[in-house]
Amino acid sequence: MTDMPHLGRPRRVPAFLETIWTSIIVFSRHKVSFAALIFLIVVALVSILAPAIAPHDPYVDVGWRNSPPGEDGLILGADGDGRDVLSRLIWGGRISLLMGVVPTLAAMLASLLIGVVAAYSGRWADQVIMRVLDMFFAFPIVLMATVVAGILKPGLATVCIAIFIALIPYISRLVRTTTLTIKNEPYVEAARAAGARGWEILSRYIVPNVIAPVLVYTTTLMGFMIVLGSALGFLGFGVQPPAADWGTMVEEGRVVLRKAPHVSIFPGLAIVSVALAFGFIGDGLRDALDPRMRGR
Amino acid sequence: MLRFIVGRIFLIVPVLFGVSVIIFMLVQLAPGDVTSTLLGPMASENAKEVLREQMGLDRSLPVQYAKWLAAVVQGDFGTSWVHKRPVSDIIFPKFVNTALLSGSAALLAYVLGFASGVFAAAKAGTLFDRSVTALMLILGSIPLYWGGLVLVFLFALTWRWLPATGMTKIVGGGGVLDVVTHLVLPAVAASLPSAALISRITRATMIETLSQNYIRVARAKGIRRAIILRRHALRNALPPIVTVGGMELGYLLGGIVLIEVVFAWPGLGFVVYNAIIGRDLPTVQGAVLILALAFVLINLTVDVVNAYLDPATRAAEGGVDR
Repeated sequence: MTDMPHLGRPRRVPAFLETIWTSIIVFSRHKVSFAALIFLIVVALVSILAPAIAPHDPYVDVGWRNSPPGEDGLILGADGDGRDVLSRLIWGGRISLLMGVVPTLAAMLASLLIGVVAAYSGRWADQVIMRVLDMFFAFPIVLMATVVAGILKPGLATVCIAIFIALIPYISRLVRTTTLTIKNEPYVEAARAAGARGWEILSRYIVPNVIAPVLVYTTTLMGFMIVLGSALGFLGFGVQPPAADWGTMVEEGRVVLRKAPHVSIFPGLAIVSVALAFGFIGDGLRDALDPRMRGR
Repeated sequence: MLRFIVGRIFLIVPVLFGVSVIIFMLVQLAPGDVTSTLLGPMASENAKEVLREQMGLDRSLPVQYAKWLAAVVQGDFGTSWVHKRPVSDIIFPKFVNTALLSGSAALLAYVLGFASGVFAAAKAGTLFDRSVTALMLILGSIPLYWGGLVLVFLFALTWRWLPATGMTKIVGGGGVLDVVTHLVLPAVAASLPSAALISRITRATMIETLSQNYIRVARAKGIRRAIILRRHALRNALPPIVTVGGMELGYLLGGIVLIEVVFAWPGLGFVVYNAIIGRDLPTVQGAVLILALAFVLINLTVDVVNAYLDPATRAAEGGVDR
């Protein structure tokens, strides 16, 4: 008897790699989303490489106070203390991007756990979790984050915690409803009938299908969270001087708004463009991860 | 209908209870010892101990909570640590100012969002539609406080058309005109993100509705486009728009803190901010409680209005209409 390895099961690319590949292709066909992704990658790289790229020390005065863009050799001008706005913007990007991305991803992971447990265990655990979440829904998200950040000691960690806490109810609710829908899909029933264990059903059939919509939602949220994080920085609850995120920079420009509007305008533009980019990427992801959009 | 409303009101009781628990617990997160905040860092241990006992801080958390809740239910929010006055005296007069600001902002957002959304949908695919859509996308990503500052820079500092700050008293100040001129900039700033979202939802819903078969039938019958839009499409597109609009009113209430700080508007949001900066925890608790209460009531109202607008609920409740 000869060995015939190819007879029973043809070797092929694992299904999930194929799915990811299709998604990437669909995504890159979405021109605006693709451009937004490139833009965000550039912004992220510039921020990460801040020590090498920033033309000046962000914490030392290098020009005349409030000098307008283009003067003193400073492309974006100087702030009220004579510090280079461009360099501060590049360094501030590190903090602002981090505040938008890290707590949102953390909240996504925590919510996946909470939402799946609620939907999958059913009965009383679901009831308890949902009632607790309902209580958090009684606060507008901005108010919740503001109060949490305001009460804790100011700092980067505080802003991250505030965003993390404020987001969990929203993502958890989405995870729960999605899980409830998927739980009753015929293919899950088929897996159960074929003898799959509870854990196997959860990890192989439910979670992978829940992740797609949650990822789309989380991406869109990241843009909003960069705006929210900058707002907390604006209120003075974030990193403390001389460090500054984009929101803190807007606040610093507030006192010199009449003489030097550029100090507030530029960081604001940075926030708007990055938030927009996340929104576009979210749109592209939704189309890429939605099987119904494939092949269009 | 009545049964639905009553049921819905009963449902908010546990939510309000949870709100009070969350607000009480949030304040426990505050770092540092309350008594050293009040007495200063130089106070003796003995004095701190006495104060702690006076304030009931030596009791267990559940006991403290129960006492606090019992007082709050009777309208007693404690005494402000900074102003040494009852918190209720500080927050209740400010509530009107916040209601005025968020109410006008909401109205602006509805009118702006709804009108732009309907017109964009009616002219879907044209340059006008694309410009509106792009503009609203950008407006939706603008940080509230930054939008406010840009408005201040343009209208108050550069052109000097409107005052940026300086609203002190709504009642008994400089009259209606004075209030209105002070109101314009903060209300517009607060309304922009909501207007953007409402516009987007309105456009999407209207386009969806306009592609329905009954619209096609109406057009085939030769009914004028304007009438189709008004009578047939708008009515059916309304429920999702109302839902989002109601939710937006709630979110507006959250963003109001930022707007009030930028414009020094004497409302609850500004009170919350100042109390946080001054570590005046009873005032934070009281003001946030009132804001959360307002949010819950708004959501309740939206639910009821929605149930009323949705013929399915009305029919299920045995309502007769038309």
